[in-house]
Amino acid sequence: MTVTESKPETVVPDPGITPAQPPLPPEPAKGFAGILGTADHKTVGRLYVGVSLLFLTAFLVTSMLVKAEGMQQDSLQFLNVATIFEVQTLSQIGVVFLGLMPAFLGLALFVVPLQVGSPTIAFPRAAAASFWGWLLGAGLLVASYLGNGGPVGANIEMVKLFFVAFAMVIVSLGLASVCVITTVATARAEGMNLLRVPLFSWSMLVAGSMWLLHSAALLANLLIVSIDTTHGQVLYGDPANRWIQLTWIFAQPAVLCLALPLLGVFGDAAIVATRIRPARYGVSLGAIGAVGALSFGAYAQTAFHPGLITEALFVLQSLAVVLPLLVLLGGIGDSVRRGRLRVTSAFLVSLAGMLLLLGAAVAGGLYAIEPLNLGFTVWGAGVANAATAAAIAGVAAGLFHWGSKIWGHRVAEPIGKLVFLVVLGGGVLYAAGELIAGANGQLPVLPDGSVENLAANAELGALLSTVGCGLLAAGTLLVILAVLPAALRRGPKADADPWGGQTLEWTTSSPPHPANFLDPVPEVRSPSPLLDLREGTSKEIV
Amino acid sequence: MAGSVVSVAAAPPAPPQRPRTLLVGTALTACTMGFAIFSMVGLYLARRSDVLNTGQKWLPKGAVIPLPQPNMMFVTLLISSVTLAWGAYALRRNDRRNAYVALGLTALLAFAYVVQATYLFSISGMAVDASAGQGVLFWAISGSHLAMVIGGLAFLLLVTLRALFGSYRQSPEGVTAAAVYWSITVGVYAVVWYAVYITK
Amino acid sequence: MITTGAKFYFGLGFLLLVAAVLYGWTSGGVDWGLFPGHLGDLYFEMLGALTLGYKGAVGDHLGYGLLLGAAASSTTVGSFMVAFRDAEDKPLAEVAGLRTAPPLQRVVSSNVWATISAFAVAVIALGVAISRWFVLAGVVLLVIAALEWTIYAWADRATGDPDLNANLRDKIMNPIEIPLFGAIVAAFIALSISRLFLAIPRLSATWLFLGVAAVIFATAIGLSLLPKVPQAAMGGLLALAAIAVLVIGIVGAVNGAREFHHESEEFTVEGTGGPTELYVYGQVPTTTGASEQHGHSEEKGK
Repeated sequence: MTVTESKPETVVPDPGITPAQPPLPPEPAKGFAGILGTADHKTVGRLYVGVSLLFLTAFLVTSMLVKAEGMQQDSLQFLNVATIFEVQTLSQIGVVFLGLMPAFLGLALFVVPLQVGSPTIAFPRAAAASFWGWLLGAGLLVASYLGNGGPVGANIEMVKLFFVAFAMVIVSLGLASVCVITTVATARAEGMNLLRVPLFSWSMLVAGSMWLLHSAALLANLLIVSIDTTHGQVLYGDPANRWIQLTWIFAQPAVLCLALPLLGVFGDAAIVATRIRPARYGVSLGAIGAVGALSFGAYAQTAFHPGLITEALFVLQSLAVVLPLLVLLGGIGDSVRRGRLRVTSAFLVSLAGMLLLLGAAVAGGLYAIEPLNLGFTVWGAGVANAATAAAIAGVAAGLFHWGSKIWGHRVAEPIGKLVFLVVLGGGVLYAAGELIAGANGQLPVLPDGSVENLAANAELGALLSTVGCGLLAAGTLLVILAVLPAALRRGPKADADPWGGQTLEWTTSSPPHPANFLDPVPEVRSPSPLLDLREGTSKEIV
Repeated sequence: MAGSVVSVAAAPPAPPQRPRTLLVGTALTACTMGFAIFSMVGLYLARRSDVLNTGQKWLPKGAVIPLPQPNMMFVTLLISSVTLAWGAYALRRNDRRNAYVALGLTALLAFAYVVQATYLFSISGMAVDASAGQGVLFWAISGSHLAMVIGGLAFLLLVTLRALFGSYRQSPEGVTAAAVYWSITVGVYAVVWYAVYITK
Repeated sequence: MITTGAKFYFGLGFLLLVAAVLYGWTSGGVDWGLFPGHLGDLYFEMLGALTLGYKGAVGDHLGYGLLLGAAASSTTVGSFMVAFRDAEDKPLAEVAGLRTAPPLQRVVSSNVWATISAFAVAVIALGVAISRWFVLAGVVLLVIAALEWTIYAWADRATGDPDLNANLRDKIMNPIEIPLFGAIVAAFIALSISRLFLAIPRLSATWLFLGVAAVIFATAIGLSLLPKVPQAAMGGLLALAAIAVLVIGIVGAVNGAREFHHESEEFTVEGTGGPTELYVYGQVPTTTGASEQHGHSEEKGK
């Protein structure tokens, strides 16, 4: 082959013509080399979901061990004083950054391009790099703990590794968020303005934006703590100060933003379950945006301003976030009333998640009311637990809703009903344990493993939390059990549209072709383009 | 294909790229980086306020933050954002010669900024382990911004090389994306300049 | 017209700005000494928060700064959304000069450079904690990966023919990649095998490598007699050989070099009459006592 001359990089625009459909691309490479070199958003999404589910289960189990230590306050059963704080921090980081966020991002990397009618994700190689960066960062993070590092370990080299690995995890997840947001913002099908975008895609735009802001602030904390830890440990890097500067991400209000994609999963699952055209769609979009905006929590760094929970802004924000959640639930409730409800697993599990999130928001509101004296107690941990459980329900519901699309085989729907009970029960107990102890004035565990101001019924609270956490771990295992046959390509094959869906992802085969859509994507005229096609509607609805 | 003689000119043209994707992705990334630096500036201001409230001086003994260098750095960045806008404008009009001059000048100015910043660091005398945490904050902020600038410089060099090799004939989106990144970098520097170098 | 996306980002920005003012004001910090005669006046109480702390004071600087920064970031993204009219189909089609906007183009080529970039960052991360040599190695790897990634990104979109694109990439990168890869492989083999050579006794080394050469020769004869060798089998065989070379290299390096009697013989620089300068393989010349240095060498040899 000889190259004779250069050529303009793109076709010369010719106004008035439709761009030619490029030839169908070849099948992606198979095997391990194919996985390593993939730029297919579906493969990257599956990898994210699969690995993060394993991490989530593992860290829920370690979290359960930490909670279990509180059941007998006078002695430790599974861990020792030197490790209990380390395991607690690892569990917190593991559940959020190695479990829930990547699981939602994996779902989004798979589903969002299909929902908006795009043949791929924006920056597909960056999405692949984000997965490998996250995975390697997670490995280094866990290794740093095993080498007596973590935030307060004795091995200073491993402590440094902890900070760098944690930063790597955050940057990788941020990169994936940029890919998802850009896809929603710029790669939508013809006619799909942002008022017609599916609720999950919209929730990922909102969640991704908030996650980017939070990630940036957390990175700033990490950088400063890390530099000071390496040079002198004069203030920020002092072992007693290191972890507390990072805890705002796991506390109210930032923790609520972890569950933002749940709102989209719930909305999409409810639209399918009620089988009617969603009413007041813009209000639902606005409610999701409002929950996102009201969960901005980077400013709420109590390590630097301990009196923050009495500030007017914090109180207002904590109370206000309940409203958009009620609006969203009310809207769906109205659809349920008007429609013909089909109780799918996704709807049930996401409903459980919404109830837990509402509970978290209400508990958060109470936390901010000064006369109740809940500030600084473990009540705040109860709020975080409820939000975490809600996010777990969101991931589970998403997998029941799109699992068949992701793997091309049916996901065991009956297990979903069991997951609903287990996750709802687990979430309630997980939160209630801390809420009860917090209401009795118990303070959080200190870095040396001790607890100040032990509440009278702290052991009961710890028992409830332990059982709740165990149930959540069991729920996650049940989800894995439900999707595993499909992931292994076993069982009955899934139809392109098993639910009678209304959004574009259901127009393509299960699993989708490498090019996502073999047929031209229909022009979008409403939030329910498939319903329009079925009903033959041609007028613009939104 | 092997063994056949194929002209690039005879090959089918590449399908057109979807506009705006790179711009939005760049804006999101640059804003996130900028917010990380804002967060550090917030920590800096909070710490500075705490130290001043105790009646102590903010800058540790032996540390100095002179004004001429930060001011010149700011001016350099401002001029570079103008030259980059000039480059993107020239490419949109397919005026390649002006575009090359503008892009080259921008890269040169960006390099000049890096040199000035390293000189400023060398004369600042700010110890990283200063007792009230001033050094950590100063180095974290100024170092992060320098890293952002170096990232921008790499981006600039990449688009300049691509322009030189004939890219961006239909749409200068790559250069515009570099300009977006660069403008946000300059905006972030304005905050750092005021909060760290001016108010000290 | 303010588009939907812009409404979200502008709304978020506005909310954060209001929150910043509220927070800066209510978290205290106003210095009434600056405003004599205005004690308790709401206007002066809020002035600091309204003027970014220029006139008057704000309470918690960190929270105030973060809220303002987030407001600025959000508003910036919002301004892009409004400038691009939410990147809807029609405006994009106008920009592209087509009737409908072109979709995102799939990347069909498979390359591992994104993965290697992530690996390089992991090596840098490890190096920050453990050794600056890892940082250096990671940076070199990252630069190579970024270069390869960039060339792939360009080549994937050079023309509409994927095969031609792959050829174009190969034409540019093969003259760089092949010699570089060859040099790395040669260095890897030389380094690994030399570690084994140095670790085992001289006579054993001779016999071992005669044996290894015989095995390689016999394998080559065996393969040449086969009518067809599957590519995967050859690849597997080479991978096994590479792993074997790596393992013996590591084992050799861990065990250290054997004692070299002929090189470790002490000699005195004639005419100096000063302390003995000792040359032991792998050691920096020192002026320490001969017995001490020799002893260290023996210990290493064990």
